[in-house]
This record gives sequence, structure tokens and C-alpha cells, in this order.
Amino acid sequence: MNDHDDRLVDVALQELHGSRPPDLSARVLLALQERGAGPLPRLLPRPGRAWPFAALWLAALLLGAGVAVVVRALDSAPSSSSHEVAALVVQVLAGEVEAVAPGGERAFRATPDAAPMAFAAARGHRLRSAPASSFQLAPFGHLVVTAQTELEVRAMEWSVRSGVVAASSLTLAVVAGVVTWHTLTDTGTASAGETVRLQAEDGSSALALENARLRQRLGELEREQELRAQEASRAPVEPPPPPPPVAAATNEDPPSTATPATGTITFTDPQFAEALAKIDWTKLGVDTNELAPLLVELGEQMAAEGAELPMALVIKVQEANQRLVAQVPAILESGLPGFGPNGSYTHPLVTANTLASALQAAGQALSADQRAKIEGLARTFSAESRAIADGAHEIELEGLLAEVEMKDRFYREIGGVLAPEQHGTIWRAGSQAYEGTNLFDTGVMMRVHAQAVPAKDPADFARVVSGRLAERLGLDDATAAQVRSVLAQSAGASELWRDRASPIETSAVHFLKSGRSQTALRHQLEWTRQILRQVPLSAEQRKKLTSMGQVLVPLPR
Amino acid sequence: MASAHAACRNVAGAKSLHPRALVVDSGDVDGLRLVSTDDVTRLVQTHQAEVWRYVRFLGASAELADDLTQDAFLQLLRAPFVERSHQETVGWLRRVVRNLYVKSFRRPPFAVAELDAIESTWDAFAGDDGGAEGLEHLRACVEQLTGRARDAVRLHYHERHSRHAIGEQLGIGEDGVKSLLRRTRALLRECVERRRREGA
Repeated sequence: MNDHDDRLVDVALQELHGSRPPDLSARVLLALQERGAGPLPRLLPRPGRAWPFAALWLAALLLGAGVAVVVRALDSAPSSSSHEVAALVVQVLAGEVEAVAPGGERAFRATPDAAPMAFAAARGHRLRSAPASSFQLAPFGHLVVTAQTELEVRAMEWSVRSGVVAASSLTLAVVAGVVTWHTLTDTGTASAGETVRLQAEDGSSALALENARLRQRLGELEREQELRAQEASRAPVEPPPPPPPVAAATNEDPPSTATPATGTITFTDPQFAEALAKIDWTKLGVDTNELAPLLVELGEQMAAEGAELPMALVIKVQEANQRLVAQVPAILESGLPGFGPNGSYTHPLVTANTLASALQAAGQALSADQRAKIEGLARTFSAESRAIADGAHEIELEGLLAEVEMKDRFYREIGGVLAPEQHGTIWRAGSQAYEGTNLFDTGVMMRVHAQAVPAKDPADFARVVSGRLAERLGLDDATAAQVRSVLAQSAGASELWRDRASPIETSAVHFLKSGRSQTALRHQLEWTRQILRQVPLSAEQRKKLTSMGQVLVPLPR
Repeated sequence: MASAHAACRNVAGAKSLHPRALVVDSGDVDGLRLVSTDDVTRLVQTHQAEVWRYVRFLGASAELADDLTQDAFLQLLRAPFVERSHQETVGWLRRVVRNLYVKSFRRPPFAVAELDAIESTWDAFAGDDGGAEGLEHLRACVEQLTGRARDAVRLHYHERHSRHAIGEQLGIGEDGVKSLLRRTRALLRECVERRRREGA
């Protein structure tokens, strides 16, 4: 018997004793849905084609295009072998990010003031952040991390399109902390022990985005030039009269205003006062007002069957969203409790202040009476938020459900305080049709945790989800079958299946109908409890099941 | 054939994030283009065990085998591949997963000259059913083991003890355990071959 025969029998014996091939169908389907079917097979760089190491720096210059250059870095080992390293671009918007090589050697420390840095995304390389931070990782999108977060590169894929080598997907393991990522078509949160798979913008989309961005900039420059030309052609005007001397001013106090001065906080709490005071609430209000109508418009445009992504609108959404997300690290640093970063972002105190600033920016400032009422609501619901965060939950997602139910009540109460025109500004028509198209809605929280599972019926859903659970928990075939049986019975509630998936829910933006995720969450908690009661699981498997952070949402086909 | 290939490319290039949304007129295409979720599930469930076993045989850990098998299917589903026969699909997947496995090393894990031997060993074991029958024969052969060979298999594969621990239980050194396990595997291999010849 030769070595090959020996290994064959060895592997076969391992399979007989438990190391069996898993059912990967759900995993493959999920990966296809996450990445899209993709137009071309994956190609690797041509063997032997040497890219200079200096291309790492070229990558930094290509930040705007969101292109990652693949280089073949010379191996530091004595052998002459080489391996592929993808250079991604890190641009820090807030906080601080370090890149660390597998040996612990720091490659760079990036701050908001620094130029974009090239990160060699080889397996084992890490990005870590001591303070809560926010950064662009081109071409994969915007990442927000809590303090003391560490991410390790697990895998990287490339593709070649039109002769350009570009990163196509990146798998990061969350070694410590929590990361939230935001791209136009995807957003999510992962905590220590979980893995994040980021998908680069499709090459054609990235180029289209860049083209649209440049066209927009060209238009702005042309308008500026036109204005200058018009001004130059006008007759000179008299300079404005000088301001009156200071001594001429009266000693009277300025008239009182309904709202605090620009940039200041409206509602606060002594426990978080210092941190909340660092947030530019005026800017947050202005940015919120800019993003709100864009999200509604995006939802409307994508609602039609087969709708294409409106690139010009996409750019505006990305830019406005980026300005909002830039404030998230400061919110996280404040220590406000919440289920994940968007939980803190929707904390009653943050919501109340953002709402006050948004209305102020819209010229509909809160009256003193409204402020007093909202202050009371914010205080009451903040206390409830703290109680939920401090409470013990056997299943982690119980905390999410308690929080979104509390915040739903908070939004309703606040809505009752606002005048009709103020209400229309905050909850404009059509903005609550989908999860994530209104910033004063718990859909903002649910969108991060929801993962649609397209299925034709409860049995189909049970098959896919039991496959995923078997993989995640390491279940053997018999246990997986028991889980599937529980799922098939408990996932059959009519409220989960009466609304067929609409085009927008299966579109690139993945906007789920409002309430769909929350309904799924309630049922998921129920079937999780049933699995815990009925299926014999090891302590480790129970721990993994109860710490799941994703809500698996049936999407009826 | 060229036109059929071009037709497949058009299908694969259709802009959609959801393969089930693709509508395909296979027309003059000599085969079935995989487009629906059910098609994908069927394809994966039909071939996954063989592909996974094959890459395990090449030397991949179970975890790596999961990842590489998944990636092989993704490559197939993203390529202008046309499903014509079981053998052709398996052959395609095996080639891809082997390349992926080799690419996961800085240096190739085996010489090119070994490939023929590796392939023929696998083909002999896998047969037409991806190795399912071979595994059943092996199960029967393991049940026939007696004495130290039976104990060694139980302790090593079922209870996953180290060679040192097994040696202590069986009263032999670690090298002795290694030799015993290798001899046992050789016996099992012969047993499987015998059962195959006899049509058991």
C-alpha cells in the first residue's frame, strides 16, 4: 500500500468516525446572494507577472476609484517563492487605526489627518483600533468599530475585469470588539468570534459611480465658472456700510430663542453629558435632513420590478450616509447602551437630540413645551434602555427585541408631541415603507441584524436554516434533522408567509418591508427556545445558538 | 458550439444579485444552464460529498475542505459552465478544488508527477458514487477488526487519543502505534478491495 492509499483510508476512517462532508447548499446559496451570481468566472493574476512593491502606494492614489491593486510581494523568507498580497486603502474618518503584520510589527498608524494608507491584506494581517473609530476600507466600504477592536484577514479574492486586477471579496475575522460595515447594498454587524465577508463593488458599478461623481464635480465647476463670469460682467456695486460701532449697541439681552445655540445639545443626562457634548448635533440634524428624502427616493426608485441602481442618487446617499456614520464613533464612545452600534445611535437621548436638531435645521424648532415633554420622554425611555441593557437574556436576541419594542413606543410617544408639519418632516410620506429608509425608526436597527432567507414555504426555510445552524453549531446529521423538524413546525406562522417578496426586497438595496424583520425575530426567539428545550445540544452548541446575532427573515418566493 | 458558448456567457452576464431571478432560454445550448435556487441546491447536494472527500484526500483539513468545496461551487456557478453530465461536472469541480487547494500553499503540496498516482487512487476508491460504496465496505471491514487493530482504530479515530495515550493503553511506544495504525489501514484497504471484487 502506497502513501496515497494510506491517506485515503485514513481520511475515510475519519469520515466514518464523524468527520463527514457537510451540506454546503445553504452556504453556497447564501454566498451567491451576498455576492451576486457574478458575470464572470474568477480569474487569478497571470503567473509570473511581477508588480512592483511600490504599487502599494499607487493604490493609495486610487482611493477615489475604489480599486485595490494586487501585487506579488517578494517573500521575506529565504526561498524565492512569492505570494499574492492585495493592497487595500485605509482612510480614517474618526479615531485611529493600526495595521499590524502577523509577527506583531506595526505597518502604519492612520488617523483622520493622515493621508490614505495602503494596507497589505494578506492572510494573518490585522487592523486594530484602540478608540472607537470609523474608516473607509476601499473598495469594500465603510467600517465602524468599537474601542479595542481587532480584525484579521482570513481570505482575499481577486478578479480580473477588462485587464484590471481588482479585489472582489475580503473575509475578516473579528478577533476582538465589534465592527459594523456599511455599503450601499449591505450593512451588518459582527462581534468577536464572528467572521465578516465583505464584497467589493462590482467593477462596472465602481466605474459608473466614479464617472457619475466626476460628472457631478464637472457640473459644479461649470456652474461656479458661470457665476464668476456673470459677476464679472455686472457693474461694480457700492460696498456695504460698515457695521455700527460696538459702543452703539444696547445693553439689552438678545431675544430668547426656542432652541439652544447652534451645535449645542438639547437633551442630556449627567452620566453621558461630557461625551454627548462632543457631538456636533447641529451637523447631525442637517445631515439627517439631507439623507432622509434621498432614502425615500431610493426606495421609490428601486420598488419597480427589475429597477437598476440610480447611480447619481446612490452617490448622494453614500455621501450623506458617510457624514452621518462619521458621528457614530463619538456616540459609541459616550457609552450609551444599545444593541450594537445602531442601538446606541437610536438611543432615546441621541434620537431626541437628533430630532431637535433636524427640526431646527428645517426651520421647525421645538417649542419650549415640546422640549419639556420630549425631555421627560427621553429620560423615561433612557432608564428603560439601561434596564434592558443591564437585564439578563438567555438568548442575546431577546435584548434586541426588547430594545426595538421599547424604541417603537418611544417613537410613537415623540410623534404625539410634534405638530403635523414637524411630524411630516421627521416621518415623511413613504419613508416607513421599508426597514432602513427612515432614520427615526427601529428599521435602522433591524436592518443591521436581518438576513433574508428566500424560501418557498416553511419546509424550505427549515431546510436552509437547519443547514446553516448545523454548520454554525457543528451539528451531526441526526441533530440537524431534529432542528429541521422543530423549524418546520414553528416557522409556519401565517404572518411570516402571507406577504410575498417584493422586487425591492430582492433588489441590490435589500430594503425589507417594514416590520418583516421584527416579526421574524419574535418567531426566531420562539424556535430558538424550542430547540433549546427539545434538541440535545452540547454546552458549546447551546452557547453558539443563544449568542446568534442575526435574525433569519423568511422571504416568501 | 461557439454560439452555444456565447449564449451561456450572455446568461451569466445578466445583471442580477439573485440567480433564481434569471430567466433562461436554453435554446440551442447543449445542456442545462443552472439558474434557480433549486438547481443550485440540487447541484451542490449531488456533488458536494465527492468534492469534499477528494480535497480531504489531497490533505485538506475538514474546515479547509468546507471552504474550498464552497469556493469550487461558487466558481462553477459564476462561470459560463453548462451542466451536461455527472462525470463532466465532477471532473470540473475536482480540477477547480485541486487548484484551489494547491493555491492555498506557498509551495505545491505535491509534485506534478504525483498527480497521476493521486488521481488513479482516488478514481479507484470513488467509483461512480463519489466513494459512498467504498465507505460502506470500509465500515463493514472495520467491524471485522479484532484485537489491537480494533482498539487502535477505536482509540485513534473514535476517541481521538494521541499516539502517546494510545501507546500507554496498548503497552507499546508511539512508533509502535504509528506502525500498527498503518498496518491496520493496509488491512482495511485490502478488505475493501476484496469486498469490491466479490461484489459484497
